[in-house]
Amino acid sequence: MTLASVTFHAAAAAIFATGLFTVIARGNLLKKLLGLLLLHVSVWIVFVAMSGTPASPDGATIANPLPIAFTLIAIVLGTTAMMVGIDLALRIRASAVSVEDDEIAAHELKS
Amino acid sequence: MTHVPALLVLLPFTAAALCLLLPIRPLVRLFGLVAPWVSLGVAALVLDHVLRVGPLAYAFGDWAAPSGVVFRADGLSALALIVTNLVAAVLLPLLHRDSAAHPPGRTALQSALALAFLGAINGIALSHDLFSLIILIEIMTLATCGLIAAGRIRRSLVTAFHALVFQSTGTAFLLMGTAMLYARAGSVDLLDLAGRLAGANDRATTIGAAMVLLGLAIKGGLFPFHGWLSRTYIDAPAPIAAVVGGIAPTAIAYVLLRISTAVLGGGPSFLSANGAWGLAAVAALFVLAPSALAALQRDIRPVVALLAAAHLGYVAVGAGAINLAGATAGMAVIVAHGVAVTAAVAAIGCLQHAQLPTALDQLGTLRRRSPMVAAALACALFAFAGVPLTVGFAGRWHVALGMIERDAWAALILVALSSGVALIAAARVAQRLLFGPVAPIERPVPFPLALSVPATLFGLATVYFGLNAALYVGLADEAAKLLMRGPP
Repeated sequence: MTLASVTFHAAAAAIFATGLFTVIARGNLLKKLLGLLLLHVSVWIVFVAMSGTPASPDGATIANPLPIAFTLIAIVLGTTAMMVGIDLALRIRASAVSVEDDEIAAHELKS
Repeated sequence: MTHVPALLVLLPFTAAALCLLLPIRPLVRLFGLVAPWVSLGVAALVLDHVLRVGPLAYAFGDWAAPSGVVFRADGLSALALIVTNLVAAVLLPLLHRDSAAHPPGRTALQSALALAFLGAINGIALSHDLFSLIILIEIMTLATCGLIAAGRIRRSLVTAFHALVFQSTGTAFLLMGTAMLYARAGSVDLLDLAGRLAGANDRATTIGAAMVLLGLAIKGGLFPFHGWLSRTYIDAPAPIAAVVGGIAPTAIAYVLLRISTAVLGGGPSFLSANGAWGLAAVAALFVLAPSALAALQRDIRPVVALLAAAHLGYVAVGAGAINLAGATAGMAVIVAHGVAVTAAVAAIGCLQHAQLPTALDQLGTLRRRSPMVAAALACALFAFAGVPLTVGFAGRWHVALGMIERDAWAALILVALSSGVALIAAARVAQRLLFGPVAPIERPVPFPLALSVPATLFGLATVYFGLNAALYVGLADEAAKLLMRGPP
């Protein structure tokens, strides 16, 4: 493992952990979505790191196009989920006047 | 027959796009009504072909397996295809009869989402490569969230949001696991991957495999992650809850079974590494804990959610056994799950729609209101508990056989114990249904057709398939043999 690859993977691990923590611990819907985005970003980083190192057993040193294609697909998956999530959060805000979990619950009790 | 696997996925997607591009009411209605039944018919053809001739394969653009995307239909795929399509064919055409599931003015959008959902579940059953599996699962997720948010009511919007966050977290785990397995093996085709991972036991592979399985557990709503599903049962429009609860976890359970036996079974499975004790841990977490919690509830909705999660846990236990009986058990549980969950969730939907009380102590009212729906609910819960003569028994029996074959006695005891506890939970509900006090109903609301028909039909099916278990157990056994034989 080269230094670059170690750096990439360490960064990905840190971002993944941060994202998971944000998704679980934050009550704000938009912060939850940002956590989700971090989770997905860490996956993209892992794929990009992989495409630089020879993943094929024959030891070719050119960049491997397949992980890059995977990265693009993973970006599409992550951003579509993000778009749907933001749309839902906006609609929730329109009807509950908040994007905080506990305030929405309070609103629910009132109505 | 050669193009059938591709058409099963492409036609519903095309129909979904047409619904949005040409939102003409009769056309949308026609698609919504016909597409699920056509899909079921084609799935039956695929099953017939698999049984008589052998597995089907379709390589997109004639690119062969490891480098191209290939859809294959073997016994397990055909079985999953039939189960999910059977449930979809009954539920989806009835959706537009319910104004909560199909709010006025949104018929085209809801039909399009339902069709996309249908295409995605067909694709999940047929796709044989990790990456297209993830894409199709994600399409299913997004369609699910759209369907749940249908009414634009605040409660269902919040539910849809939580479903999205949960499932998308699951996707992130799945993707990360896939990345790690791909880095190790250099392939995402399931058969190819199985061959390359055979015997691999290093740390990266183990963690990658664990992340894939964890992602599937989150998306399928196995025990600690069942929150989004139980919220869906309560807050989504009821017919949608039946679609989401009955079909989506069944499809995911199929993927879980295939990946953990056929792909990871030969190599890095930490279950096989830790043997009997790993299995016992899986059984305690996924099966015993939710069953025990279900026996303590005071409301019918969490009972159904927890028992369903426990029932799905048997797929994980059966898959963890990594032997023929275990794989057969997984398949039998998948069949039972599609049938029983649909009956139970549709019955709860009836209760909620008619604004009948859902507290256990007041369930007697349902008996007076509709004996058939009450019976369906009871049958479904007994099926979850694995009572003989219901559809749940065959799966339970084979799980036990798989444990014995592996000498996993601790796991066997846990499985028996959780079956007993689940039986207590089901019997508590059945007792209230049969003998609970009947509250007078002032203005009875009629049960919607979109819920009472599926509840009754699948309630009957739990008993029918229980009495005629040979219908699918033989098939599951054949499919399991093919699955366990591994890559050619």
